[in-house]
Amino acid sequence: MTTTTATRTRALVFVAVAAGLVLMPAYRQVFGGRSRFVRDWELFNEVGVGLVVAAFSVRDADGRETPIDRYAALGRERPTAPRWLRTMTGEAGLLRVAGELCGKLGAVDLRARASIATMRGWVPLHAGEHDLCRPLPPRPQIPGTRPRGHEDP
Amino acid sequence: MKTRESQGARLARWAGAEGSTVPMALIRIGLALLLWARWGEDMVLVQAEGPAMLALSLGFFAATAAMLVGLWTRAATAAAAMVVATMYFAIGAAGGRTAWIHHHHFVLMSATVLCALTPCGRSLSLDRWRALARARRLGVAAPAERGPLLGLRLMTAQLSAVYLWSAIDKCEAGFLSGARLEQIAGFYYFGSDLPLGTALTIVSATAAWTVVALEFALAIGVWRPRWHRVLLPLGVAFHAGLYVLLPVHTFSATMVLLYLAVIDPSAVHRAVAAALPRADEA
Repeated sequence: MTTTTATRTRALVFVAVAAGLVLMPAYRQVFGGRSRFVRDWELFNEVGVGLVVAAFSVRDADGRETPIDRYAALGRERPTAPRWLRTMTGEAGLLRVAGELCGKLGAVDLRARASIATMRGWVPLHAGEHDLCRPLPPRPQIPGTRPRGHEDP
Repeated sequence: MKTRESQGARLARWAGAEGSTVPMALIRIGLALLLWARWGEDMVLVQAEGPAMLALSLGFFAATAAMLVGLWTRAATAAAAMVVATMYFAIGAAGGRTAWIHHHHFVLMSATVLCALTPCGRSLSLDRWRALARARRLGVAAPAERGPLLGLRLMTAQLSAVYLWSAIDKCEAGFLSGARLEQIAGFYYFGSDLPLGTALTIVSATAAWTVVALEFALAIGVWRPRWHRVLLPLGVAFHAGLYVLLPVHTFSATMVLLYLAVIDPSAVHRAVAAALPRADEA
Protein backbone atom coordinates (compact mmCIF):
# COMPACT_ATOMS: atom_id res chain seq x y z
CA MET A 1 0.00 0.00 0.00
CA THR A 2 1.37 3.42 -0.92
CA THR A 3 1.46 5.99 1.87
CA THR A 4 0.12 9.29 0.56
CA THR A 5 1.49 12.68 1.43
CA ALA A 6 -1.64 13.45 3.47
CA THR A 7 -1.19 10.26 5.45
CA ARG A 8 2.48 11.02 6.08
CA THR A 9 1.64 14.56 7.17
CA ARG A 10 -1.00 13.29 9.59
CA ALA A 11 1.48 10.78 10.97
CA LEU A 12 4.05 13.51 11.54
CA VAL A 13 1.45 15.72 13.26
CA PHE A 14 0.43 12.75 15.37
CA VAL A 15 3.99 12.00 16.47
CA ALA A 16 4.74 15.64 17.30
CA VAL A 17 1.52 16.39 19.21
CA ALA A 18 1.31 12.99 20.92
CA ALA A 19 4.94 13.35 22.07
CA GLY A 20 4.06 16.74 23.53
CA LEU A 21 1.01 15.38 25.34
CA VAL A 22 2.85 12.37 26.72
CA LEU A 23 6.15 14.05 27.62
CA MET A 24 4.88 17.42 28.85
CA PRO A 25 4.01 16.27 32.40
CA ALA A 26 7.64 15.21 32.92
CA TYR A 27 8.53 18.89 33.20
CA ARG A 28 6.65 19.07 36.49
CA GLN A 29 6.61 15.49 37.71
CA VAL A 30 10.21 14.53 36.91
CA PHE A 31 12.15 17.79 36.71
CA GLY A 32 10.18 19.70 39.34
CA GLY A 33 9.22 22.62 37.09
CA ARG A 34 6.28 24.65 38.35
CA SER A 35 4.98 26.51 35.29
CA ARG A 36 1.22 26.99 35.22
CA PHE A 37 1.35 26.56 31.46
CA VAL A 38 2.38 22.94 31.82
CA ARG A 39 -0.05 20.38 33.21
CA ASP A 40 0.98 17.58 35.53
CA TRP A 41 -1.25 14.63 36.35
CA GLU A 42 -0.73 14.56 40.12
CA LEU A 43 -4.43 14.25 40.90
CA PHE A 44 -5.54 14.92 44.51
CA ASN A 45 -1.83 14.85 45.19
CA GLU A 46 -1.65 16.83 48.41
CA VAL A 47 -5.21 16.49 49.64
CA GLY A 48 -5.28 15.50 53.29
CA VAL A 49 -1.62 16.25 54.05
CA GLY A 50 -1.41 17.68 57.56
CA LEU A 51 -4.59 15.96 58.74
CA VAL A 52 -4.33 14.88 62.38
CA VAL A 53 -6.06 11.81 63.72
CA ALA A 54 -6.14 11.88 67.50
CA ALA A 55 -7.65 10.28 70.57
CA PHE A 56 -7.73 12.34 73.76
CA SER A 57 -7.67 11.05 77.30
CA VAL A 58 -7.45 12.44 80.82
CA ARG A 59 -4.77 10.97 83.08
CA ASP A 60 -5.48 10.77 86.80
CA ALA A 61 -2.99 10.93 89.68
CA ASP A 62 -2.45 7.15 89.52
CA GLY A 63 -1.51 7.33 85.87
CA ARG A 64 -4.75 5.75 84.67
CA GLU A 65 -6.15 7.24 81.50
CA THR A 66 -9.83 7.76 80.72
CA PRO A 67 -10.68 8.36 77.05
CA ILE A 68 -12.73 11.45 76.35
CA ASP A 69 -14.99 12.27 73.47
CA ARG A 70 -13.92 15.74 72.34
CA TYR A 71 -17.37 16.54 70.95
CA ALA A 72 -19.22 15.57 74.13
CA ALA A 73 -16.62 17.33 76.31
CA LEU A 74 -17.15 20.56 74.38
CA GLY A 75 -20.94 20.18 74.30
CA ARG A 76 -21.07 19.68 70.54
CA GLU A 77 -22.40 17.04 68.19
CA ARG A 78 -20.19 15.87 65.37
CA PRO A 79 -22.51 16.68 62.44
CA THR A 80 -22.84 20.31 63.54
CA ALA A 81 -19.40 20.77 65.07
CA PRO A 82 -17.14 23.42 63.52
CA ARG A 83 -14.52 22.26 61.01
CA TRP A 84 -11.58 22.95 63.36
CA LEU A 85 -13.05 20.41 65.79
CA ARG A 86 -13.96 17.75 63.23
CA THR A 87 -10.81 18.06 61.11
CA MET A 88 -7.68 18.98 63.02
CA THR A 89 -4.94 20.17 60.67
CA GLY A 90 -1.31 20.29 61.73
CA GLU A 91 -0.09 20.27 65.31
CA ALA A 92 -1.58 23.74 65.66
CA GLY A 93 -5.02 22.25 64.94
CA LEU A 94 -4.50 19.57 67.57
CA LEU A 95 -3.34 22.13 70.15
CA ARG A 96 -6.33 24.37 69.42
CA VAL A 97 -8.73 21.53 70.25
CA ALA A 98 -6.58 20.63 73.29
CA GLY A 99 -6.76 24.25 74.44
CA GLU A 100 -10.55 24.24 74.17
CA LEU A 101 -10.72 20.96 76.13
CA CYS A 102 -8.40 22.27 78.83
CA GLY A 103 -10.56 25.39 79.16
CA LYS A 104 -13.72 23.31 79.46
CA LEU A 105 -12.43 20.49 81.68
CA GLY A 106 -10.47 22.66 84.10
CA ALA A 107 -7.23 21.56 85.72
CA VAL A 108 -6.76 18.14 84.12
CA ASP A 109 -3.80 16.23 82.71
CA LEU A 110 -4.83 15.97 79.05
CA ARG A 111 -3.03 13.49 76.84
CA ALA A 112 -3.36 12.67 73.16
CA ARG A 113 -2.32 9.86 70.91
CA ALA A 114 -2.11 11.39 67.51
CA SER A 115 -0.78 10.77 64.03
CA ILE A 116 -0.30 13.31 61.28
CA ALA A 117 -0.68 12.78 57.54
CA THR A 118 2.40 13.26 55.35
CA MET A 119 3.10 12.35 51.74
CA ARG A 120 5.09 9.39 53.11
CA GLY A 121 2.19 8.11 55.20
CA TRP A 122 1.12 8.52 58.82
CA VAL A 123 3.73 9.83 61.24
CA PRO A 124 3.32 9.74 65.06
CA LEU A 125 2.73 13.23 66.42
CA HIS A 126 1.95 12.56 70.09
CA ALA A 127 2.11 9.33 72.06
CA GLY A 128 0.60 10.62 75.27
CA GLU A 129 3.98 11.81 76.55
CA HIS A 130 2.91 15.40 77.27
CA ASP A 131 0.19 17.07 79.26
CA LEU A 132 -1.39 19.22 76.58
CA CYS A 133 -2.80 21.60 79.19
CA ARG A 134 0.74 22.71 79.97
CA PRO A 135 3.15 24.48 77.63
CA LEU A 136 4.93 21.97 75.41
CA PRO A 137 8.71 21.79 75.39
CA PRO A 138 10.40 22.75 72.09
CA ARG A 139 9.92 19.92 69.60
CA PRO A 140 11.55 19.23 66.24
CA GLN A 141 9.37 19.99 63.23
CA ILE A 142 8.07 16.83 61.52
CA PRO A 143 8.95 17.07 57.81
CA GLY A 144 6.27 16.64 55.17
CA THR A 145 3.29 17.75 57.23
CA ARG A 146 2.56 20.65 54.92
CA PRO A 147 1.68 20.49 51.20
CA ARG A 148 4.77 20.57 49.00
CA GLY A 149 3.30 23.35 46.91
CA HIS A 150 2.81 21.18 43.85
CA GLU A 151 -0.74 22.45 43.44
CA ASP A 152 -1.09 25.73 41.57
CA PRO A 153 -1.64 28.49 44.14
CA MET B 1 16.12 -1.60 9.11
CA LYS B 2 13.40 -3.15 7.02
CA THR B 3 11.38 -3.83 10.18
CA ARG B 4 11.77 -0.22 11.30
CA GLU B 5 10.57 1.03 7.90
CA SER B 6 7.54 -1.20 7.98
CA GLN B 7 6.74 -0.09 11.51
CA GLY B 8 7.02 3.53 10.40
CA ALA B 9 4.71 2.86 7.48
CA ARG B 10 2.30 1.07 9.78
CA LEU B 11 2.30 4.03 12.17
CA ALA B 12 1.73 6.39 9.25
CA ARG B 13 -1.19 4.30 8.01
CA TRP B 14 -2.68 4.08 11.48
CA ALA B 15 -2.27 7.76 12.35
CA GLY B 16 -3.35 8.91 8.90
CA ALA B 17 -6.25 6.50 8.53
CA GLU B 18 -9.77 7.58 7.73
CA GLY B 19 -12.94 6.21 9.26
CA SER B 20 -16.43 6.97 10.46
CA THR B 21 -17.05 10.49 11.73
CA VAL B 22 -19.77 9.35 14.15
CA PRO B 23 -17.46 8.98 17.21
CA MET B 24 -16.01 12.46 16.77
CA ALA B 25 -19.54 13.85 16.38
CA LEU B 26 -20.58 12.23 19.64
CA ILE B 27 -17.47 13.62 21.32
CA ARG B 28 -18.25 17.08 19.89
CA ILE B 29 -21.76 17.02 21.34
CA GLY B 30 -20.54 15.71 24.69
CA LEU B 31 -17.79 18.31 24.90
CA ALA B 32 -20.19 21.18 24.19
CA LEU B 33 -22.39 20.02 27.07
CA LEU B 34 -19.40 19.54 29.37
CA LEU B 35 -18.06 22.98 28.49
CA TRP B 36 -21.38 24.46 29.57
CA ALA B 37 -21.41 22.34 32.72
CA ARG B 38 -17.92 23.46 33.71
CA TRP B 39 -17.62 27.02 32.44
CA GLY B 40 -21.17 28.08 31.63
CA GLU B 41 -21.89 29.70 34.99
CA ASP B 42 -18.59 31.59 34.99
CA MET B 43 -19.18 32.82 31.45
CA VAL B 44 -22.69 34.20 31.97
CA LEU B 45 -22.59 37.75 30.63
CA VAL B 46 -23.38 39.28 34.00
CA GLN B 47 -20.03 37.91 35.26
CA ALA B 48 -18.05 39.54 32.43
CA GLU B 49 -15.71 42.28 33.63
CA GLY B 50 -14.82 44.54 30.74
CA PRO B 51 -15.30 44.34 27.00
CA ALA B 52 -12.69 41.61 26.47
CA MET B 53 -14.41 39.21 28.86
CA LEU B 54 -17.77 40.14 27.38
CA ALA B 55 -16.50 39.25 23.92
CA LEU B 56 -15.04 36.02 25.26
CA SER B 57 -18.37 35.12 26.91
CA LEU B 58 -20.30 35.81 23.73
CA GLY B 59 -17.77 33.81 21.74
CA PHE B 60 -18.00 30.95 24.26
CA PHE B 61 -21.76 30.62 24.07
CA ALA B 62 -22.03 31.21 20.30
CA ALA B 63 -19.28 28.74 19.47
CA THR B 64 -20.37 26.01 21.87
CA ALA B 65 -24.04 26.33 20.84
CA ALA B 66 -23.12 25.96 17.16
CA MET B 67 -20.79 23.11 18.13
CA LEU B 68 -23.60 21.32 19.96
CA VAL B 69 -26.07 21.40 17.09
CA GLY B 70 -23.40 21.04 14.42
CA LEU B 71 -23.89 24.29 12.54
CA TRP B 72 -20.78 25.46 10.61
CA THR B 73 -19.24 22.81 12.79
CA ARG B 74 -15.54 23.00 11.86
CA ALA B 75 -15.47 26.77 12.37
CA ALA B 76 -17.59 26.56 15.51
CA THR B 77 -15.41 23.87 17.09
CA ALA B 78 -12.23 25.73 16.15
CA ALA B 79 -13.68 28.92 17.66
CA ALA B 80 -14.70 27.06 20.83
CA ALA B 81 -11.18 25.60 21.06
CA MET B 82 -9.62 29.06 20.74
CA VAL B 83 -11.97 30.54 23.33
CA VAL B 84 -11.34 27.73 25.82
CA ALA B 85 -7.58 27.78 25.23
CA THR B 86 -7.64 31.54 25.83
CA MET B 87 -9.57 30.98 29.05
CA TYR B 88 -7.12 28.34 30.24
CA PHE B 89 -3.78 29.85 29.19
CA ALA B 90 -4.35 33.60 28.99
CA ILE B 91 -6.83 34.13 31.82
CA GLY B 92 -6.10 31.08 33.96
CA ALA B 93 -2.35 30.46 33.67
CA ALA B 94 -1.06 33.90 32.70
CA GLY B 95 -3.79 35.97 34.33
CA GLY B 96 -3.68 34.14 37.64
CA ARG B 97 -7.26 32.87 37.67
CA THR B 98 -6.10 29.50 38.97
CA ALA B 99 -9.66 28.29 39.54
CA TRP B 100 -9.70 27.76 35.77
CA ILE B 101 -6.55 25.68 35.43
CA HIS B 102 -7.29 22.52 37.36
CA HIS B 103 -6.76 19.07 35.87
CA HIS B 104 -10.36 18.76 34.71
CA HIS B 105 -10.16 22.13 32.97
CA PHE B 106 -7.04 21.05 31.09
CA VAL B 107 -8.43 17.76 29.88
CA LEU B 108 -11.62 19.51 28.73
CA MET B 109 -9.65 22.24 26.96
CA SER B 110 -7.27 19.72 25.39
CA ALA B 111 -10.14 17.54 24.17
CA THR B 112 -11.85 20.56 22.61
CA VAL B 113 -8.67 21.59 20.80
CA LEU B 114 -8.18 18.04 19.52
CA CYS B 115 -11.86 17.84 18.51
CA ALA B 116 -11.27 20.91 16.34
CA LEU B 117 -8.79 18.81 14.35
CA THR B 118 -11.55 16.37 13.36
CA PRO B 119 -14.29 16.64 10.71
CA CYS B 120 -16.79 16.26 13.54
CA GLY B 121 -19.59 18.00 11.64
CA ARG B 122 -20.00 15.25 9.07
CA SER B 123 -22.29 13.25 11.36
CA LEU B 124 -25.11 14.02 13.77
CA SER B 125 -25.23 17.68 12.84
CA LEU B 126 -27.24 20.35 11.08
CA ASP B 127 -24.37 20.45 8.60
CA ARG B 128 -25.04 16.78 7.84
CA TRP B 129 -28.75 17.45 7.46
CA ARG B 130 -28.02 20.31 5.05
CA ALA B 131 -25.56 18.17 3.09
CA LEU B 132 -28.17 15.40 2.74
CA ALA B 133 -30.81 17.91 1.61
CA ARG B 134 -28.40 19.31 -0.96
CA ALA B 135 -27.55 15.84 -2.23
CA ARG B 136 -31.24 14.99 -2.57
CA ARG B 137 -31.89 18.25 -4.40
CA LEU B 138 -29.06 17.60 -6.83
CA GLY B 139 -29.87 13.92 -7.14
CA VAL B 140 -26.40 12.80 -6.13
CA ALA B 141 -25.24 10.29 -3.55
CA ALA B 142 -25.24 11.35 0.08
CA PRO B 143 -21.77 12.40 1.27
CA ALA B 144 -19.98 9.68 3.21
CA GLU B 145 -19.66 10.02 6.94
CA ARG B 146 -15.91 9.47 6.77
CA GLY B 147 -12.87 11.56 7.58
CA PRO B 148 -9.35 11.54 9.00
CA LEU B 149 -9.03 9.93 12.42
CA LEU B 150 -6.02 12.00 13.49
CA GLY B 151 -7.92 13.92 16.17
CA LEU B 152 -9.21 10.68 17.69
CA ARG B 153 -5.69 9.21 17.71
CA LEU B 154 -4.46 12.27 19.57
CA MET B 155 -7.28 12.00 22.10
CA THR B 156 -6.08 8.45 22.70
CA ALA B 157 -2.60 9.85 23.36
CA GLN B 158 -4.09 12.36 25.80
CA LEU B 159 -5.94 9.62 27.67
CA SER B 160 -2.83 7.47 27.80
CA ALA B 161 -0.73 10.36 29.12
CA VAL B 162 -3.21 11.12 31.90
CA TYR B 163 -3.27 7.51 33.09
CA LEU B 164 0.49 7.01 32.72
CA TRP B 165 1.57 10.07 34.71
CA SER B 166 -1.17 9.65 37.27
CA ALA B 167 0.02 6.08 37.87
CA ILE B 168 3.68 7.15 38.03
CA ASP B 169 2.77 9.81 40.59
CA LYS B 170 1.21 7.15 42.81
CA CYS B 171 4.24 4.86 42.78
CA GLU B 172 5.48 5.90 46.19
CA ALA B 173 5.27 4.23 49.57
CA GLY B 174 2.82 6.74 51.00
CA PHE B 175 0.23 5.91 48.35
CA LEU B 176 0.86 2.18 47.95
CA SER B 177 0.58 1.62 51.71
CA GLY B 178 -2.97 2.97 51.48
CA ALA B 179 -2.13 5.90 53.75
CA ARG B 180 -2.69 8.57 51.09
CA LEU B 181 -6.15 7.17 50.28
CA GLU B 182 -6.95 7.12 54.01
CA GLN B 183 -5.84 10.74 54.24
CA ILE B 184 -8.05 11.72 51.30
CA ALA B 185 -10.95 9.83 52.91
CA GLY B 186 -10.20 11.65 56.16
CA PHE B 187 -10.08 15.03 54.46
CA TYR B 188 -13.41 14.61 52.69
CA TYR B 189 -15.38 12.26 54.94
CA PHE B 190 -14.08 11.26 58.36
CA GLY B 191 -12.06 14.28 59.46
CA SER B 192 -9.89 13.54 62.48
CA ASP B 193 -12.15 10.61 63.43
CA LEU B 194 -10.64 8.39 60.76
CA PRO B 195 -10.55 4.82 62.14
CA LEU B 196 -6.85 4.12 61.55
CA GLY B 197 -5.47 0.62 61.95
CA THR B 198 -8.74 -1.07 61.13
CA ALA B 199 -10.21 -2.74 58.06
CA LEU B 200 -10.00 0.67 56.40
CA THR B 201 -6.22 0.30 56.19
CA ILE B 202 -6.53 -3.06 54.40
CA VAL B 203 -9.20 -1.68 52.07
CA SER B 204 -7.11 1.43 51.35
CA ALA B 205 -3.94 -0.51 50.57
CA THR B 206 -5.85 -2.90 48.31
CA ALA B 207 -7.56 0.01 46.57
CA ALA B 208 -4.23 1.80 46.13
CA TRP B 209 -2.59 -1.14 44.36
CA THR B 210 -5.73 -1.73 42.28
CA VAL B 211 -5.87 1.91 41.16
CA VAL B 212 -2.19 1.99 40.18
CA ALA B 213 -2.48 -1.31 38.28
CA LEU B 214 -5.64 -0.14 36.52
CA GLU B 215 -4.10 3.19 35.54
CA PHE B 216 -0.99 1.55 34.10
CA ALA B 217 -3.21 -0.97 32.30
CA LEU B 218 -5.35 1.83 30.86
CA ALA B 219 -2.27 3.83 29.82
CA ILE B 220 -1.18 0.87 27.69
CA GLY B 221 -4.58 -0.66 27.01
CA VAL B 222 -6.16 2.31 25.25
CA TRP B 223 -3.73 1.54 22.40
CA ARG B 224 -4.60 -2.16 22.32
CA PRO B 225 -8.05 -2.94 20.87
CA ARG B 226 -7.99 -6.51 22.21
CA TRP B 227 -7.91 -5.19 25.77
CA HIS B 228 -10.82 -2.80 25.32
CA ARG B 229 -13.64 -5.23 26.06
CA VAL B 230 -12.33 -5.80 29.58
CA LEU B 231 -10.44 -2.62 30.28
CA LEU B 232 -12.81 0.12 29.15
CA PRO B 233 -15.74 -1.05 31.33
CA LEU B 234 -13.30 -1.15 34.26
CA GLY B 235 -12.22 2.39 33.36
CA VAL B 236 -15.83 3.55 33.24
CA ALA B 237 -16.50 1.98 36.64
CA PHE B 238 -13.33 3.60 38.02
CA HIS B 239 -14.37 7.05 36.81
CA ALA B 240 -17.94 6.55 38.00
CA GLY B 241 -16.55 5.74 41.44
CA LEU B 242 -14.34 8.83 41.40
CA TYR B 243 -17.29 10.96 40.32
CA VAL B 244 -19.43 9.74 43.19
CA LEU B 245 -16.71 9.86 45.85
CA LEU B 246 -14.61 12.92 45.05
CA PRO B 247 -15.16 16.45 43.70
CA VAL B 248 -13.71 15.69 40.26
CA HIS B 249 -16.16 18.02 38.49
CA THR B 250 -16.17 17.24 34.75
CA PHE B 251 -13.01 15.10 34.82
CA SER B 252 -14.69 11.70 34.96
CA ALA B 253 -17.26 12.55 32.30
CA THR B 254 -14.61 13.96 29.96
CA MET B 255 -12.36 10.93 30.34
CA VAL B 256 -15.22 8.50 29.69
CA LEU B 257 -16.38 10.59 26.73
CA LEU B 258 -12.88 10.31 25.26
CA TYR B 259 -13.17 6.51 25.35
CA LEU B 260 -15.20 7.01 22.16
CA ALA B 261 -11.93 8.04 20.51
CA VAL B 262 -10.34 4.76 21.50
CA ILE B 263 -13.02 2.37 20.25
CA ASP B 264 -13.05 1.25 16.60
CA PRO B 265 -14.97 4.07 14.80
CA SER B 266 -16.95 1.64 12.65
CA ALA B 267 -18.18 -0.14 15.79
CA VAL B 268 -19.35 3.18 17.23
CA HIS B 269 -21.02 3.98 13.90
CA ARG B 270 -22.84 0.65 13.87
CA ALA B 271 -24.00 1.09 17.47
CA VAL B 272 -25.35 4.58 16.76
CA ALA B 273 -27.01 3.42 13.54
CA ALA B 274 -28.67 0.60 15.46
CA ALA B 275 -29.86 2.97 18.16
CA LEU B 276 -30.93 5.72 15.75
CA PRO B 277 -31.82 3.96 12.47
CA ARG B 278 -33.72 6.95 11.14
CA ALA B 279 -30.73 9.24 11.56
CA ASP B 280 -28.64 6.82 9.50
CA GLU B 281 -31.25 6.56 6.74
CA ALA B 282 -32.11 10.27 6.54
